[in-house]
Amino acid sequence: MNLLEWILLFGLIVCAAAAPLCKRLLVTVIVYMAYSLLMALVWSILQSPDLAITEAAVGAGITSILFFLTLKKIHALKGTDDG
Amino acid sequence: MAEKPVKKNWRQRLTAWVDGEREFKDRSLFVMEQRSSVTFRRPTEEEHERREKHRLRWFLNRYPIGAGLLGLTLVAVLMAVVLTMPPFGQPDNPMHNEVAQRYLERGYEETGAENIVTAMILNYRGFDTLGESCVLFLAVAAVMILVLQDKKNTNKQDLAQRAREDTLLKSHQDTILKQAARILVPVLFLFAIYMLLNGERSPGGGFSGGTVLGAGLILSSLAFGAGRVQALLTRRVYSAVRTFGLLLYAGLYGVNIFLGANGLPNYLTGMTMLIDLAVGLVVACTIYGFFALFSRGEL
Amino acid sequence: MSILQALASVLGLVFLAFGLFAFLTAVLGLFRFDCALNRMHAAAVGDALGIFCILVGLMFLHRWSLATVKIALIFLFLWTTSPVSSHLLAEMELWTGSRQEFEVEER
Repeated sequence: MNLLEWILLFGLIVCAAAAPLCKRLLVTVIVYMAYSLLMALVWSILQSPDLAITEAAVGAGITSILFFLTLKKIHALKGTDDG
Repeated sequence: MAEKPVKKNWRQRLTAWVDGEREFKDRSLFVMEQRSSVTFRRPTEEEHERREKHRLRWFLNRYPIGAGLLGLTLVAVLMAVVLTMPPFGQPDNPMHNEVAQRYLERGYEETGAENIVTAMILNYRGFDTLGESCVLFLAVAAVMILVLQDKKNTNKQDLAQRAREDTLLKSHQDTILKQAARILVPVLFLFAIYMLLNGERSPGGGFSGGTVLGAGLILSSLAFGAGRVQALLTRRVYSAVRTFGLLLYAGLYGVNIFLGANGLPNYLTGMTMLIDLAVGLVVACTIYGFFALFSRGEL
Repeated sequence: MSILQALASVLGLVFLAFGLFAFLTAVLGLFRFDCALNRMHAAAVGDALGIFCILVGLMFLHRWSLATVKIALIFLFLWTTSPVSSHLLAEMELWTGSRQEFEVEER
C-alpha cells in the first residue's frame, strides 16, 4: 500500500464517521457525496473501473440529487436552523 | 356471557377431538375488573408536564450510553469477523479456486464478452442482475403509488401551487445553465450510449451507462424546463420503455438459459450487448422517474 | 531531443506545483472567509486555475500520446461544468441567503 491509498482510506473512514455525526441533514448528504467520490477513487486504484464508474455516477451524482429532492420535499432545506 | 366450559382432562378432550366435536369457544373478550379501593386521580397539567420532562430526561441521559454500547458491540463483532477472515490478496485464499480460474480462462469463448465483469454480471450471474432490474422496476412502481399526483388525487389548491411554481421557474430560467446544457447534454447522451453499447469490451455497461443516460435526462429537464422532456417522454412512452427493457432482458436471458447457458452459438454473440442495453434502459428510466416523481410529483 | 524532453518534464512539474498551490489557496479561502459568496469565489477561482494548471502539467508530462487527448477532453468538460455549477450555487445563495449588507472599509 502506498501513501495515496493510506490517505484515501483515512479520508473514507473520516467521511464515514462524519456522515452520521453531522447535525444538519444537508451536510450529511454532502459528506456522503465526498465518501462516494473517495470510494470511486479507491475502486479505480483497486483496478475495477466498472465499479468506479458506477460508484461515481450513482453514489456521487444521482443519489445526492435524490437526497436533495427528498430534503426539499420534507421542507428540511429552508433556513439554517431546522434540519 | 357464555356459559363456563366444563373442565375436561386431556383424554376426554382427545376423544372429543377425534369424534369431531368442536369445543365451545368463550366468546367474552374481556372482563372488567371492578376496582374499588384506589380512586384514579387525574394529574394536573404541570405535574403531567414535569413527569413527561423527567421521563424524557431519563431517556435522553441513557440513550447515548445504550447507543454507544450497541455500537461498540457491533464493532467488536465485526472486528472479530474480520480477524478470522483470510489475509488480503494471498494466492491460496479460498476464493481463488477453480471457478475463478474458469471464468478468467474461458469467459470470452463461453459468453462472447471480452470484459470479464460484464460476462460475469450479465451471463454467469444473469439471474442476479435480472432480480436487480426487477427491484428497480418495483421501486419506481412503489414511488409512483406513493407520490404520483394525477387527476384523481389533486385538488384545486395543488394545481394552483404547481402553476405558480411553473411560472416562477419560467421567469427565472437560467441562460448560462441553458447554454451549458446545450453543449453538455449531447455529449452526455453520446457517452452513455457508448458505455451501453461497448460494455462488453470496455468498462461500463448497463448500470453506469444507464445512470449517465438518466443524468442526461435530469440535466435536460432541469435546464430546458420539464415540459420539453415530458413532451418527448410521456407517461405512456416511459412505461413502455421501462417494461420493454425488463421484458427484453427476461426474454434474452430465457433464450440463453434455454440454449444451455453455456457456449453461445455464433449468431447470438451480440446478445450481451442487447442485455446491457436492456439493463441500461431500465436503470435510466428508474433514475429519471425518481427525479421527476420527487421533484414535481408527475411524470 | 532529450533537452526538449527534460524541458517538458520540468515545465510539467512546475505547472503541477502551481496547480497544487492554487488548490491550497482555494481550500484556505474556503475555510477562512466569512461570507458565503466570498468562499465560493475562492473555491471557484482555485478550482478553475488549479484544474487548468494540473491538467496542463499532466499533459506536459505525458508528452504526445492518447492520454494527452483524453486529458484535454477532461479539461474541456471540467471548464464547461465547474463555472456553471458555481454560478448556480451563487444564484441560489442570492435567492435564499440572508441579505446582509457588508460595509466596505476604505483605506
